[in-house]
Amino acid sequence: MNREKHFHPLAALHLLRKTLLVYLLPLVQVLFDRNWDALRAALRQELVLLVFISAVCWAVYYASRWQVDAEGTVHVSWRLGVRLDRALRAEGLAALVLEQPLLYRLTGACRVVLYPVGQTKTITLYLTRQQAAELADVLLPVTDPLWHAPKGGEKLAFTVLGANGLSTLFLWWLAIHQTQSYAPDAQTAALAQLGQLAALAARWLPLGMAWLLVLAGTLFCISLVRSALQAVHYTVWRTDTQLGSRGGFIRRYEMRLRLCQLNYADLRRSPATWALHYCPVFVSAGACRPELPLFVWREGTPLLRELLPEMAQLPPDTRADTTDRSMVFFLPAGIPLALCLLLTAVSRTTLPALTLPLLIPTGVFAALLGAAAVGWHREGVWQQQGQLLLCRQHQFHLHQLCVFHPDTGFTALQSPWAVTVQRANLTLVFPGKEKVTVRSVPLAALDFLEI
Amino acid sequence: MSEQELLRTALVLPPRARRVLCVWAAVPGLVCAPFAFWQSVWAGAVFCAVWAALVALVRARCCSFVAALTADSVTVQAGVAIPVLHRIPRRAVTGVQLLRTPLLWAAGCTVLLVRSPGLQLVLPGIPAAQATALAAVLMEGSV
Repeated sequence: MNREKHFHPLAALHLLRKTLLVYLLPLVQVLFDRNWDALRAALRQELVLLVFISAVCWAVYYASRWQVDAEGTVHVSWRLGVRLDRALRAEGLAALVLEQPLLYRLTGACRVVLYPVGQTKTITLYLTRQQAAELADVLLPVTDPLWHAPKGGEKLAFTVLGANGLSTLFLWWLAIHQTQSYAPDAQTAALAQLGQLAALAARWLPLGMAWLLVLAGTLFCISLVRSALQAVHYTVWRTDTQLGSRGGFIRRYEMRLRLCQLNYADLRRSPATWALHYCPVFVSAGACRPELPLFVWREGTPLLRELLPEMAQLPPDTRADTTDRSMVFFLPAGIPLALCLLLTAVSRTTLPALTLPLLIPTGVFAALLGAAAVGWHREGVWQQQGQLLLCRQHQFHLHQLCVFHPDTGFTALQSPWAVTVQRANLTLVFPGKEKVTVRSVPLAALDFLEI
Repeated sequence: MSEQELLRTALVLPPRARRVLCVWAAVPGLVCAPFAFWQSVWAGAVFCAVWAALVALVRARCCSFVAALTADSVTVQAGVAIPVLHRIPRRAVTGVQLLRTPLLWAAGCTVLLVRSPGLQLVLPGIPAAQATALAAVLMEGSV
């Protein structure tokens, strides 16, 4: 470990990927000339560019090194004319993430992302799988871990996936059915009505909307399949100094978070989690905000206490004081909902074919308004036994946060209206510049800030 | 100035510091004003009036500025219509920066920047002695 080493050759490929836009430049001329000679000339120029840039990337890869010294400090140096050295002490590390997408697994590579304490700039290294594992064990060793293999993540992911799959299949059937009803004279009708744009829109928009919904549903389904595959072979552990998790079927990942650098734990409630009694628990450390939960907790089980004993209490399950509370909660969903309702009402008389498609965004915004109402009743800040607890609504999720980091900064902002009703928006700023805002909190609840 | 004195005293901007900050706020307007007058006298007049209002707002904000050191944090509050309070725990302070321009030097004031991993506080134009003492106190207890 102590001697200097090269990165994995994929590091050169990663550099090459960053230059993709350069290859579009010669194609600009083809747009103006629009002939085969221009295209051939552009392709020749691109080949020269590719060879030159590949050579530069390979030279950077060949001249660059990384090393871990005896004290556990990581040294990374990039060299090509200019030398850029960066060092990171093991104690200065808040979190690290190891990722292995399919291509990386096939080539034996691993992407290591290091998150320094209190910085937003990360260090990304492309190493071999073995080197990555050794580096992770030097920086954040897993000693005497308490292992868990919670099944909640898989169940939650597959249940949501199943529900979405069924709804997408239904949309497919609906869209095909609509297409078939137009199919015999679709092209003729389209050509005949090209001059009558409004009529064409009236005739085709519902069909287009159906396929648009199919596309959205399918993409969401793909995203859920990805999440479900991440939840396979899922393991989470806790040691005296760190929390960690690993899993993934095709894309493997592992993250290790230093306990003393944890910003907060976030229990995300949504209609699905209310129904299934499973709740994903997210944690954040430094600037590391994983998109995947650390684990999925089945309500009532001791898993949460075992893995996060610091989370001694959850935000109280009570309604917040809504006297003189700001209506700002309802604006993001209320304004588009009012607009959609207006359009729907107008379409009833002018374009009846549009009424049904317009009901879809109307329904979505109505649901968002309902979620905002939950936030209006539940958002708040509490300090219990010296621990700060927050509850905040974001879209369909109710976030229940338990703050761990003692070095958290605060910003309290009051509008002129909020001054008169003694309320403020409280923003917590964590090391790594991550911000969490709770809206329209009574100043009486912020007595720990002594405003 | 000792830590005990700083704990007892709220830091406000003295009148001379407020004047310096107003001068800073006025300078971009003075630079741009000839271009506005070049369009028409009315455009120049309107521009000057708007800029004067902005400078007045800066002055009002300076008047409302209060910074306070407590046993475990440093707090800055400013704003009349839209009051904003920023607080950094003292143990989170990673660095301080002192800035003195010739105008500030003449006014006996200093701009103090307090840095932490998440937030950054700007204390514009506090008396030089208090700024130096506060910087020293904050750096004593830092990690």
